[in-house]
Amino acid sequence: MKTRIVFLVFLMCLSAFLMTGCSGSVQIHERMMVQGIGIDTTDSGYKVTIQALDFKNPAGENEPSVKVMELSGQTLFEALDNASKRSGLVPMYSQNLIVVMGHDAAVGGANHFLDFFIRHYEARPNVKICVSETTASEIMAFESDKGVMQAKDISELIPNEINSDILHFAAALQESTSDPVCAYLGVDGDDKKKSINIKGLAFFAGDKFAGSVLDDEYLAALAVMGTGDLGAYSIYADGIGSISLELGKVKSHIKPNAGETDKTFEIDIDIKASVLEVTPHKGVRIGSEEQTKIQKQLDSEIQRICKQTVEKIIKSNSDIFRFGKVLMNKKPQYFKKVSDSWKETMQTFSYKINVNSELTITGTEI
Amino acid sequence: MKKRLVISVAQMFSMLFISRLVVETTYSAVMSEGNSLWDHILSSFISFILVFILIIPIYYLFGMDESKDILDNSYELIGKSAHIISFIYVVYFMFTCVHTLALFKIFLSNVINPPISTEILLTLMVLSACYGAYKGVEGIARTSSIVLFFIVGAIIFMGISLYSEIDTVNFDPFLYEGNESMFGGVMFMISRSSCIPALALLLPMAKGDVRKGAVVWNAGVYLLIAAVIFLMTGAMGDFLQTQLFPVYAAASIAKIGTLEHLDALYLGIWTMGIFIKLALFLMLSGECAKKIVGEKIGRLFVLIFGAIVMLSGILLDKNAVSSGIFASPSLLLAMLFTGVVIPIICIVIKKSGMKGEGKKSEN
Repeated sequence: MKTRIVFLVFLMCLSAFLMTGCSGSVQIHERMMVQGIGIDTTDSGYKVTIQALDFKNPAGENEPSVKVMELSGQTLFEALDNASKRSGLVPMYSQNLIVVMGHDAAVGGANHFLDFFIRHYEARPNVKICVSETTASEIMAFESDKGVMQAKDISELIPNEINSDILHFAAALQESTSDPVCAYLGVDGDDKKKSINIKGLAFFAGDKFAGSVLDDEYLAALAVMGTGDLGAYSIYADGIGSISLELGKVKSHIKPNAGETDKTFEIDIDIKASVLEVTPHKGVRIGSEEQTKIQKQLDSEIQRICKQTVEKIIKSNSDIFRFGKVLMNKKPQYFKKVSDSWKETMQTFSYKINVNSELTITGTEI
Repeated sequence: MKKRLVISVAQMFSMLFISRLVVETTYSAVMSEGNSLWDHILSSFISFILVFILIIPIYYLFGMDESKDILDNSYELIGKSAHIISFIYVVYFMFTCVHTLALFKIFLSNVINPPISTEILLTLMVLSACYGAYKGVEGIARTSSIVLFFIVGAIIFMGISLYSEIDTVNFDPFLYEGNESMFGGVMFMISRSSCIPALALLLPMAKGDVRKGAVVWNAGVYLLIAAVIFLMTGAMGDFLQTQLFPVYAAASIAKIGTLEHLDALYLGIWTMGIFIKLALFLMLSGECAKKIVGEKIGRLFVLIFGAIVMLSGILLDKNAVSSGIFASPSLLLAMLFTGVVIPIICIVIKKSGMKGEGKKSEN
């Protein structure tokens, strides 16, 4: 009994050393919560623009201010580390929402700086990643009438469905046959009314930026990827007029043929299209004949732009649609023979697009 | 003397389930020596069958006299020379504890990078485990039931949230690079089955249907491993190859509605699992020590073993977790010797002794 009491007293004394509360921790006002990181290259290394929430100098009651800092260093981390040297705050990367690569940095190769976002213990794989049409600092330091456009709002411009995040970007880089793809952002408008917009997709060959697809090509790339909703698309049909459609619930299926004479990838795209506007309004009733006409026109146009887009990307030596991986899964024996020279082999394949749209007429007609 | 049945079969297998899980959820291409994780789905089915085969000697020996564990049998058969058997089991269980602690250390330093030193955290973990071990198997079994509830809940949650992220293109054809990966996976899984030797001591402590419990436990463990590999590969593709602890990375991307960033949840649950495993194996080491030095002093040995495990864990190089003595072949040999060879020797001696007695009585 006596030993037990002595042991308990010893444990109580020991616990006093462990109950030190939060004395060793970093308080929130001592932290700089990084929300967005923009990466540009310079002759001597990197220029990094960060957006961070600063709790030390709040903008209002219970509202942290948004701090934009331009930092430089020979490596990405060296540049980022300068943030704490300059502000005296401890950076926290776990709340980071977006990584913007400047055009030149993307051309130079993402492998030069991506490691930080995979390796760092505070980095999360679902952080969005994109390429800027010009520089990353233009996006990260963008000011509208309401002040600095926050990283949160920039990241919300990128739809989740396009998988433009570190996880998918790094996975594609790691995969020997596929190439990464991500959102392509730019600034539009004149001096008085500028805004940041998602312009399309940036595609890579290996870790290097190889080009971008904009407008119709952007829509086509999303269709081939089978990415959810494509949004509005307009076609013209003789006798009916200009028809605006909403394209949604897109599904794509890639089927490889790797015979001696037939080396083709067949891409089946299923789209649900809703007719939302017909102009000029002439009161034309869209009956079954008109529906067939619209459907045929839509299928043919989507097919044309998809083929054009796929061929453009393939010519740039980029396999963002994972044709190689599909071939590996479906025809493993054949793929083994060509895997080492896949980028050259994919140029010899033909790409056949089959579009199958399902039309819905909305409004007053039945 | 019949042993007091202190825990139920369900509780025993809960402890063993958690012990397997904390090691198996550290799965990665890095840990499994560069093997393709996708082929490990096949490995899990093979390992599932192999584990059944490997537990046959222990179960058979237990069936011969349900009141005796492997050490009781050894002392009965070879007398005081069985001290050496007890010592071998002490070394094996401590070896398992050091391996688990090394995993915890590498997890802390590579993934969490906590502001306080890993040594302090390791010390606190071992102290807690020593306390658990000191309280005995009943305490650990009760705690493991609660921990198991949280683990199953977290896994179901993660499963649901990752399911929608699955891209079937990420699934490579099985055995694309040959069968090396599959056999590597079997080696990885079986070599880390420290629960098999643990069963040799735990079986007589449990009451209930052992056979049913073993089937549920083994099926549960390997189904879960297969499900985790399926979800991780489907949701993360080749990103897995960049991660040392992909399950942790998967937890960080899992989300349902506004609930996201669940890595902290995974961290808490995994740490609880580590505690259960350390406490269980320290308790088993203590049980073996009791056979050598006696019941009274034996209990103190839990603390001594804890100190040794703690020091070894602290001094161990963090890269040693999958190399040297912790490489799969060494772990496999140690497991086979304690989990299969010693029970078979006991069965053979016991059988020949029975035959001898039979002949004597006939004469």
